Amino acid sequence: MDSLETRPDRELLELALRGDESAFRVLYERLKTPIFRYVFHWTYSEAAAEELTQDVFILLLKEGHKYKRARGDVSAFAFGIARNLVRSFHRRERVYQELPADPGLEQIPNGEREGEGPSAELIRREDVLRVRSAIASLPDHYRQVIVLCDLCELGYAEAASRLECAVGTVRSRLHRAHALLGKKLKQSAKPEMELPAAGPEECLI
Amino acid sequence: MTCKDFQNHWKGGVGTSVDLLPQSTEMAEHARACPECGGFVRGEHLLKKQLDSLRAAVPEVPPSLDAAVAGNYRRYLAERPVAIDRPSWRAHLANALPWAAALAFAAIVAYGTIVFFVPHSSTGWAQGKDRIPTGQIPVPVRAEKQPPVAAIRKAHRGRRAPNPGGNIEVARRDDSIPRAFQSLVYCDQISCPGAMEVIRVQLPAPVLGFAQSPARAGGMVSADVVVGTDGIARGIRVTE
Repeated sequence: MDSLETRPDRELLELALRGDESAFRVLYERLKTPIFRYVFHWTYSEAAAEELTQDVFILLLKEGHKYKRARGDVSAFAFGIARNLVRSFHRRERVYQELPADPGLEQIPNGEREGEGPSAELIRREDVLRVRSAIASLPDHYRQVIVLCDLCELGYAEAASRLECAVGTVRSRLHRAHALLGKKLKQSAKPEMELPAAGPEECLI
Repeated sequence: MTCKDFQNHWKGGVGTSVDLLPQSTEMAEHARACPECGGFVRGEHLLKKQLDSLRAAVPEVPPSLDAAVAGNYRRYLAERPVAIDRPSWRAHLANALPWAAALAFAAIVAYGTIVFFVPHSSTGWAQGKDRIPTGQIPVPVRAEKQPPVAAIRKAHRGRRAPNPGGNIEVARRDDSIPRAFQSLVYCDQISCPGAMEVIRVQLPAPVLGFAQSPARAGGMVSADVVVGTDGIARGIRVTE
């Protein structure tokens, strides 16, 4: 009998639905990080991301029998569930438009902070918040490709299968999304104080 | 390379990753030479940096999630037999619905076929004969005054005297027996569809309004009856 690690997600899901807990664990280990990241980039809240990721796996078990192989792989199915849950979350939490507290920022690896003072970290935090709010203000289809391709680091083909569209569509959308995001970031950037150009020093003596 | 080529290459995914730019000498040269495209590349570099910092700011998956998901899975297993072995009434309904629809459709089709294509059931000539309502059998006018056919023939047998008046009389008398079919019910193409059938029956003479005579064996009269496909007599012709 071959190892569960080498089995495709589809078989693991079937086994998990039949009651094989070890198969479910393997499937969970494969999917948890990408789904958690995806949900986090849509909610910017660790607590919400944890709750929604949990819900994704509950629904994957409840609705797993509806999975159709022809419509994509199991991770695409799980991402579809996550996308629907995120939409419901945003509808529910529409009243809270401001960005939640950012515990994620505390997780920045120490290596990146080395050699930098507290002011640099503050600037970094501000920068992250600025980029987040700029991404959040993008239209939904542009935000999707940025989250999937840039933040979840999926390839074009994978992102296309998650979004159920063509690879070329993902590319062009990403290009436009980058252009729009760059424009928004430029607008939101604080105008730097311009120092007067240093002229030739006059000899006062 | 023109700015348009540069943008097209970038848009097409060739240079979307800024890391790949230095490898493409032609594009790198153009980016250095063209301030607009150079600015675009610098903007992409900056954006990439910002997105990298955003990616780095994602927290790790909390360990509490693992425990919660494992607990959920065990709860799912505990509830699973109920969910799988005893499907809800909705599941039953969902399974039965297509079959019910198919059965209803088949019934409608069968009914339609019977109504439109199958002619009204022919119950055979015997039943059709039984169904002839006696009230509808036409009684010949002056039947009692007219001598029976056999009697007339017997009376005229051997008589060959040219008597025009007498011949006319005989002819008139022969005509008094209905030779043609007499309609029993109203009949046209709509009310009498399909082919008709002629059957020969023997009826008691009084039924047809003929008087009992010793000439008729047993007092029976032979007649051709036109019967429709529904078994109802449409016309009658007395033969003997």
